[in-house]
Amino acid sequence: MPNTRAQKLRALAAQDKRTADAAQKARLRSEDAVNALEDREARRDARAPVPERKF
Amino acid sequence: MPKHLIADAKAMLEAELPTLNDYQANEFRKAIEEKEVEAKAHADAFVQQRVAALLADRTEALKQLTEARDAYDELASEAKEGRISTADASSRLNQLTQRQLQSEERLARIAKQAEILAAVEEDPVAWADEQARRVPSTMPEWGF
Repeated sequence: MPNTRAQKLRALAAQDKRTADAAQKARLRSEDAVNALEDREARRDARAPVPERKF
Repeated sequence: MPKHLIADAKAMLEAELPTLNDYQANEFRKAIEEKEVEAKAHADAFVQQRVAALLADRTEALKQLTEARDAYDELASEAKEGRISTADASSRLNQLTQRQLQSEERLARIAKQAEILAAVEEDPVAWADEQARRVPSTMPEWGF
């Protein structure tokens, strides 16, 4: 068990890795969602009818 | 007055011990103990000050990191539901990544500092000697 000030800080710093891991997982979920959004928009744009020429 | 590192003074005591009488040896030991007490007090004050500053910095960095984590989840939700354009989503993703990396770097620096401070706590006399080696004017003065 950490019993000095610096040892306690070191133990807290070790715990922070879990928070960093959670943030990294959230980032990956977010990247996946943004990539999926881009794919959907690209497919939608590809399906959009070409406007008829008036002249 | 002569200046020596505490480690050097201890080495001198070891070397000269056979030539010293009891009184001289005790005076020598007492002088070393006094310098060690001073060094420990100095190291303790340093650690206390640095730990307090690093804890405050850690709180800020963690806040920044958890905010980025929550904002990632919010962005993912908006992107899945199509409530945001791809341009805005990409821009926000980049900003969040910057914030995440900044706070992670900050936390890594704090962790590194915590290791250094733990080493100071473990051997405050060695730390004091190291400081004196870097700044010779702070080297302790002795009566021998």
